[in-house]
Amino acid sequence: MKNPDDERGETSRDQHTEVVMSEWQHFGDPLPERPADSVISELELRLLPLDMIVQWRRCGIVSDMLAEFFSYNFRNREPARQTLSFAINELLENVVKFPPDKREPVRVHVSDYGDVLRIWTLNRAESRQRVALEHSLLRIVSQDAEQLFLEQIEHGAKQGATTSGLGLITVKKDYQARLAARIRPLEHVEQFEVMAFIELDAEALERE
Amino acid sequence: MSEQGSNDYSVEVLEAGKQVRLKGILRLMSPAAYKPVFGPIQDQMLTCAGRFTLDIAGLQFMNSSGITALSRLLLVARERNLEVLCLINASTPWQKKTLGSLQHLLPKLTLQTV
Repeated sequence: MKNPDDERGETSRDQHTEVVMSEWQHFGDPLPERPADSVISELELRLLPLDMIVQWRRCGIVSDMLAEFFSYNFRNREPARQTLSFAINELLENVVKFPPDKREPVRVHVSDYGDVLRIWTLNRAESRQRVALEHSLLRIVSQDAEQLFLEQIEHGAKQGATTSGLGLITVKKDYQARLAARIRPLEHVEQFEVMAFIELDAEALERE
Repeated sequence: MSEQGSNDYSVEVLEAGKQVRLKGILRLMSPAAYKPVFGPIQDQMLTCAGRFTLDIAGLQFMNSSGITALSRLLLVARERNLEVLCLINASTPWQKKTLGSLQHLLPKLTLQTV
Protein backbone atom coordinates (compact mmCIF):
# COMPACT_ATOMS: atom_id res chain seq x y z
CA MET A 1 0.00 0.00 0.00
CA LYS A 2 1.63 3.25 -1.10
CA ASN A 3 2.36 5.78 1.64
CA PRO A 4 1.75 9.39 0.64
CA ASP A 5 5.10 10.09 2.39
CA ASP A 6 6.72 8.52 -0.66
CA GLU A 7 4.93 10.68 -3.17
CA ARG A 8 6.82 13.85 -3.91
CA GLY A 9 6.18 16.07 -6.89
CA GLU A 10 4.56 13.32 -8.91
CA THR A 11 2.06 13.84 -11.66
CA SER A 12 -1.06 11.91 -10.89
CA ARG A 13 -4.02 11.12 -13.01
CA ASP A 14 -7.30 10.53 -11.25
CA GLN A 15 -10.28 8.99 -12.86
CA HIS A 16 -11.75 12.09 -14.48
CA THR A 17 -9.12 14.81 -14.78
CA GLU A 18 -5.39 15.06 -14.87
CA VAL A 19 -4.15 17.06 -11.90
CA VAL A 20 -0.61 17.99 -11.08
CA MET A 21 0.31 17.61 -7.44
CA SER A 22 3.11 19.55 -5.85
CA GLU A 23 5.17 18.57 -2.84
CA TRP A 24 3.59 18.10 0.56
CA GLN A 25 3.92 21.01 2.99
CA HIS A 26 4.10 20.01 6.62
CA PHE A 27 2.93 22.07 9.57
CA GLY A 28 2.34 21.34 13.22
CA ASP A 29 4.47 19.08 15.39
CA PRO A 30 7.44 17.47 13.65
CA LEU A 31 6.95 13.79 12.88
CA PRO A 32 10.15 11.84 12.26
CA GLU A 33 10.23 9.72 9.14
CA ARG A 34 9.64 6.09 10.00
CA PRO A 35 11.13 3.40 7.77
CA ALA A 36 8.47 1.16 6.28
CA ASP A 37 10.10 -1.94 7.78
CA SER A 38 9.82 -0.55 11.33
CA VAL A 39 6.04 -0.95 11.39
CA ILE A 40 4.75 -3.75 13.62
CA SER A 41 1.09 -3.57 12.68
CA GLU A 42 -0.78 -1.57 10.10
CA LEU A 43 -4.30 -1.22 8.79
CA GLU A 44 -5.86 1.18 6.32
CA LEU A 45 -9.45 1.75 5.33
CA ARG A 46 -10.84 3.54 2.30
CA LEU A 47 -14.28 5.00 3.03
CA LEU A 48 -16.96 7.08 1.41
CA PRO A 49 -17.91 10.02 3.67
CA LEU A 50 -21.48 9.75 2.43
CA ASP A 51 -21.79 6.30 3.99
CA MET A 52 -20.81 7.74 7.37
CA ILE A 53 -23.00 10.84 7.08
CA VAL A 54 -26.16 8.86 6.30
CA GLN A 55 -25.46 6.40 9.12
CA TRP A 56 -23.46 8.35 11.65
CA ARG A 57 -23.14 5.33 13.91
CA ARG A 58 -20.66 3.95 11.38
CA CYS A 59 -18.05 6.42 12.67
CA GLY A 60 -18.21 4.66 16.01
CA ILE A 61 -18.16 1.24 14.41
CA VAL A 62 -15.00 2.05 12.46
CA SER A 63 -13.27 3.82 15.37
CA ASP A 64 -14.05 0.99 17.78
CA MET A 65 -12.92 -1.66 15.32
CA LEU A 66 -9.57 0.01 14.69
CA ALA A 67 -9.10 0.68 18.41
CA GLU A 68 -9.91 -2.91 19.30
CA PHE A 69 -7.53 -4.19 16.62
CA PHE A 70 -4.54 -2.15 17.77
CA SER A 71 -5.20 -2.42 21.51
CA TYR A 72 -4.33 -6.11 21.23
CA ASN A 73 -0.67 -5.09 21.12
CA PHE A 74 -0.91 -3.58 24.62
CA ARG A 75 -0.64 -5.18 28.05
CA ASN A 76 -3.16 -2.72 29.46
CA ARG A 77 -5.70 -3.04 26.68
CA GLU A 78 -8.74 -1.21 27.95
CA PRO A 79 -7.20 2.27 28.47
CA ALA A 80 -5.41 1.90 25.12
CA ARG A 81 -8.66 0.92 23.42
CA GLN A 82 -10.58 3.85 24.89
CA THR A 83 -7.91 6.38 23.97
CA LEU A 84 -7.43 5.04 20.46
CA SER A 85 -11.17 5.00 19.85
CA PHE A 86 -11.46 8.64 20.88
CA ALA A 87 -8.47 9.80 18.81
CA ILE A 88 -9.47 7.87 15.70
CA ASN A 89 -13.07 9.01 16.08
CA GLU A 90 -12.05 12.67 16.12
CA LEU A 91 -10.01 12.41 12.93
CA LEU A 92 -12.68 10.30 11.30
CA GLU A 93 -15.48 12.75 12.10
CA ASN A 94 -13.43 15.57 10.56
CA VAL A 95 -12.56 13.61 7.46
CA VAL A 96 -16.19 12.77 6.72
CA LYS A 97 -17.69 16.16 7.60
CA PHE A 98 -15.44 18.51 5.69
CA PRO A 99 -14.66 17.17 2.17
CA PRO A 100 -16.63 18.98 -0.55
CA ASP A 101 -17.57 15.78 -2.39
CA LYS A 102 -18.92 13.17 0.02
CA ARG A 103 -18.64 10.51 -2.68
CA GLU A 104 -14.88 11.00 -3.01
CA PRO A 105 -13.11 8.23 -1.03
CA VAL A 106 -11.05 9.18 2.01
CA ARG A 107 -8.40 7.13 3.77
CA VAL A 108 -7.92 6.28 7.44
CA HIS A 109 -4.62 4.68 8.34
CA VAL A 110 -3.11 3.39 11.59
CA SER A 111 0.50 2.24 11.96
CA ASP A 112 1.94 0.75 15.14
CA TYR A 113 5.72 1.25 15.39
CA GLY A 114 6.00 -0.23 18.88
CA ASP A 115 6.93 2.96 20.72
CA VAL A 116 4.33 5.11 18.95
CA LEU A 117 1.09 4.73 17.07
CA ARG A 118 0.54 7.04 14.14
CA ILE A 119 -2.96 7.67 12.86
CA TRP A 120 -3.56 9.66 9.70
CA THR A 121 -6.41 10.50 7.40
CA LEU A 122 -6.33 11.72 3.82
CA ASN A 123 -9.00 13.73 2.08
CA ARG A 124 -9.55 16.59 -0.31
CA ALA A 125 -10.73 19.97 0.89
CA GLU A 126 -11.63 23.27 -0.73
CA SER A 127 -8.85 25.83 -1.08
CA ARG A 128 -10.82 28.40 0.90
CA GLN A 129 -10.56 26.15 3.97
CA ARG A 130 -6.78 26.05 3.95
CA VAL A 131 -6.02 29.19 5.95
CA ALA A 132 -8.47 28.25 8.71
CA LEU A 133 -7.02 24.75 8.91
CA GLU A 134 -3.44 26.01 9.19
CA HIS A 135 -4.37 28.64 11.74
CA SER A 136 -6.32 26.17 13.86
CA LEU A 137 -3.58 23.57 13.93
CA LEU A 138 -0.78 26.02 14.61
CA ARG A 139 -2.81 27.42 17.48
CA ILE A 140 -3.26 23.95 18.96
CA VAL A 141 0.39 22.92 18.75
CA SER A 142 1.81 26.21 20.00
CA GLN A 143 -0.43 26.97 22.98
CA ASP A 144 -1.02 25.31 26.33
CA ALA A 145 -3.64 22.64 25.69
CA GLU A 146 -5.46 23.01 29.01
CA GLN A 147 -5.80 26.76 28.56
CA LEU A 148 -6.86 26.36 24.94
CA PHE A 149 -9.49 23.77 25.95
CA LEU A 150 -11.12 26.21 28.36
CA GLU A 151 -10.84 29.16 25.95
CA GLN A 152 -12.43 27.15 23.15
CA ILE A 153 -15.38 26.22 25.39
CA GLU A 154 -15.98 29.79 26.57
CA HIS A 155 -15.52 31.30 23.12
CA GLY A 156 -17.68 28.66 21.44
CA ALA A 157 -20.48 29.12 23.97
CA LYS A 158 -20.47 32.92 23.56
CA GLN A 159 -20.54 32.65 19.77
CA GLY A 160 -23.10 29.84 19.77
CA ALA A 161 -20.64 27.86 17.66
CA THR A 162 -22.17 24.92 15.84
CA THR A 163 -18.92 22.99 15.81
CA SER A 164 -16.97 21.80 18.82
CA GLY A 165 -13.34 22.52 17.95
CA LEU A 166 -12.32 20.48 21.00
CA GLY A 167 -11.36 17.16 19.43
CA LEU A 168 -7.69 17.66 18.65
CA ILE A 169 -7.22 19.93 21.67
CA THR A 170 -8.53 17.14 23.92
CA VAL A 171 -6.27 14.54 22.32
CA LYS A 172 -3.29 16.78 22.97
CA LYS A 173 -4.40 17.79 26.48
CA ASP A 174 -5.25 14.35 27.77
CA TYR A 175 -2.88 12.08 25.86
CA GLN A 176 0.07 14.35 24.97
CA ALA A 177 -0.49 13.59 21.29
CA ARG A 178 1.63 15.14 18.57
CA LEU A 179 -0.50 16.74 15.89
CA ALA A 180 0.40 17.63 12.34
CA ALA A 181 -1.01 18.13 8.89
CA ARG A 182 0.42 17.90 5.40
CA ILE A 183 -1.10 19.83 2.58
CA ARG A 184 -0.65 19.46 -1.14
CA PRO A 185 -2.39 21.94 -3.45
CA LEU A 186 -4.00 20.51 -6.54
CA GLU A 187 -3.75 22.43 -9.79
CA HIS A 188 -6.70 22.99 -12.11
CA VAL A 189 -9.10 22.58 -9.22
CA GLU A 190 -9.71 24.89 -6.25
CA GLN A 191 -8.85 22.11 -3.82
CA PHE A 192 -6.00 20.63 -1.86
CA GLU A 193 -5.23 17.27 -0.37
CA VAL A 194 -4.74 17.14 3.37
CA MET A 195 -3.30 14.47 5.61
CA ALA A 196 -4.11 14.94 9.29
CA PHE A 197 -1.91 13.13 11.81
CA ILE A 198 -2.24 12.13 15.42
CA GLU A 199 0.79 10.43 16.93
CA LEU A 200 0.51 8.82 20.37
CA ASP A 201 3.21 7.33 22.57
CA ALA A 202 2.48 3.71 23.42
CA GLU A 203 3.25 4.48 27.06
CA ALA A 204 0.61 7.25 27.18
CA LEU A 205 -1.95 4.91 25.65
CA GLU A 206 -1.67 2.36 28.44
CA ARG A 207 -1.80 4.92 31.22
CA GLU A 208 -5.02 5.06 33.23
CA MET B 1 -37.90 7.93 37.92
CA SER B 2 -38.23 8.73 34.25
CA GLU B 3 -36.05 7.53 31.45
CA GLN B 4 -35.44 8.47 27.87
CA GLY B 5 -32.80 7.76 25.32
CA SER B 6 -32.07 5.50 22.44
CA ASN B 7 -30.34 2.20 21.85
CA ASP B 8 -27.03 3.91 22.58
CA TYR B 9 -27.72 5.95 25.70
CA SER B 10 -30.22 6.57 28.47
CA VAL B 11 -31.03 9.57 30.65
CA GLU B 12 -32.70 8.74 33.97
CA VAL B 13 -34.09 11.34 36.35
CA LEU B 14 -33.80 10.27 39.97
CA GLU B 15 -34.45 11.62 43.45
CA ALA B 16 -37.23 14.01 42.54
CA GLY B 17 -35.15 15.72 39.90
CA LYS B 18 -32.02 16.24 42.04
CA GLN B 19 -30.00 13.61 40.19
CA VAL B 20 -29.71 12.62 36.58
CA ARG B 21 -27.93 9.47 35.43
CA LEU B 22 -26.48 9.41 31.93
CA LYS B 23 -25.37 6.02 30.63
CA GLY B 24 -24.17 4.44 27.40
CA ILE B 25 -22.24 5.77 24.44
CA LEU B 26 -22.60 9.24 22.97
CA ARG B 27 -21.21 10.02 19.52
CA LEU B 28 -23.67 12.53 18.09
CA MET B 29 -22.72 14.61 15.08
CA SER B 30 -22.55 18.08 16.60
CA PRO B 31 -23.08 19.98 19.86
CA ALA B 32 -26.58 20.92 18.64
CA ALA B 33 -27.42 17.24 18.19
CA TYR B 34 -26.99 16.86 21.96
CA LYS B 35 -29.96 19.11 22.72
CA PRO B 36 -32.29 16.10 23.30
CA VAL B 37 -29.71 14.72 25.75
CA PHE B 38 -28.62 17.76 27.75
CA GLY B 39 -31.76 19.88 27.30
CA PRO B 40 -33.83 17.77 29.75
CA ILE B 41 -30.84 17.53 32.09
CA GLN B 42 -30.56 21.32 32.11
CA ASP B 43 -34.29 21.64 32.80
CA GLN B 44 -33.92 19.38 35.86
CA MET B 45 -30.80 21.18 37.02
CA LEU B 46 -32.44 24.60 36.91
CA THR B 47 -35.39 23.50 39.03
CA CYS B 48 -33.24 21.73 41.57
CA ALA B 49 -32.72 23.38 44.96
CA GLY B 50 -29.34 22.77 46.55
CA ARG B 51 -26.83 20.49 44.91
CA PHE B 52 -27.49 18.79 41.58
CA THR B 53 -25.94 15.41 40.92
CA LEU B 54 -24.93 14.30 37.45
CA ASP B 55 -24.02 10.62 37.35
CA ILE B 56 -21.94 9.80 34.28
CA ALA B 57 -20.22 6.74 35.77
CA GLY B 58 -22.01 4.56 33.24
CA LEU B 59 -21.09 6.75 30.27
CA GLN B 60 -18.51 4.70 28.41
CA PHE B 61 -17.71 7.11 25.59
CA MET B 62 -18.45 10.68 24.63
CA ASN B 63 -17.02 12.46 21.59
CA SER B 64 -15.82 16.07 21.51
CA SER B 65 -19.24 17.37 20.45
CA GLY B 66 -20.60 15.80 23.64
CA ILE B 67 -17.83 17.32 25.73
CA THR B 68 -18.77 20.69 24.26
CA ALA B 69 -22.45 20.17 25.05
CA LEU B 70 -21.65 19.04 28.61
CA SER B 71 -19.39 22.03 29.14
CA ARG B 72 -22.18 24.39 28.01
CA LEU B 73 -24.45 22.74 30.57
CA LEU B 74 -21.88 23.49 33.24
CA LEU B 75 -21.58 27.09 32.06
CA VAL B 76 -25.32 27.44 32.68
CA ALA B 77 -24.73 26.04 36.20
CA ARG B 78 -21.99 28.61 36.69
CA GLU B 79 -24.29 31.47 35.61
CA ARG B 80 -26.82 30.36 38.20
CA ASN B 81 -24.15 29.77 40.88
CA LEU B 82 -25.25 26.15 41.25
CA GLU B 83 -23.36 23.35 42.96
CA VAL B 84 -22.89 20.28 40.84
CA LEU B 85 -21.66 16.89 41.96
CA CYS B 86 -20.48 14.67 39.14
CA LEU B 87 -20.17 10.94 39.75
CA ILE B 88 -17.46 9.39 37.60
CA ASN B 89 -15.99 5.95 37.06
CA ALA B 90 -12.37 5.16 37.97
CA SER B 91 -12.26 2.58 35.16
CA THR B 92 -13.12 5.17 32.52
CA PRO B 93 -10.02 7.41 32.49
CA TRP B 94 -11.37 10.05 30.09
CA GLN B 95 -14.00 11.05 32.64
CA LYS B 96 -11.50 12.23 35.23
CA LYS B 97 -9.38 13.91 32.58
CA THR B 98 -12.22 15.81 30.97
CA LEU B 99 -14.23 16.62 34.08
CA GLY B 100 -11.02 17.58 35.88
CA SER B 101 -10.44 20.28 33.27
CA LEU B 102 -14.06 21.40 33.48
CA GLN B 103 -13.61 22.07 37.21
CA HIS B 104 -11.63 25.14 36.12
CA LEU B 105 -14.77 26.38 34.37
CA LEU B 106 -17.05 25.69 37.29
CA PRO B 107 -15.34 25.89 40.71
CA LYS B 108 -18.53 24.55 42.34
CA LEU B 109 -18.16 21.31 40.39
CA THR B 110 -17.15 18.41 42.62
CA LEU B 111 -16.08 15.04 41.26
CA GLN B 112 -16.70 11.81 43.10
CA THR B 113 -15.34 8.49 41.91
CA VAL B 114 -17.72 5.54 42.23
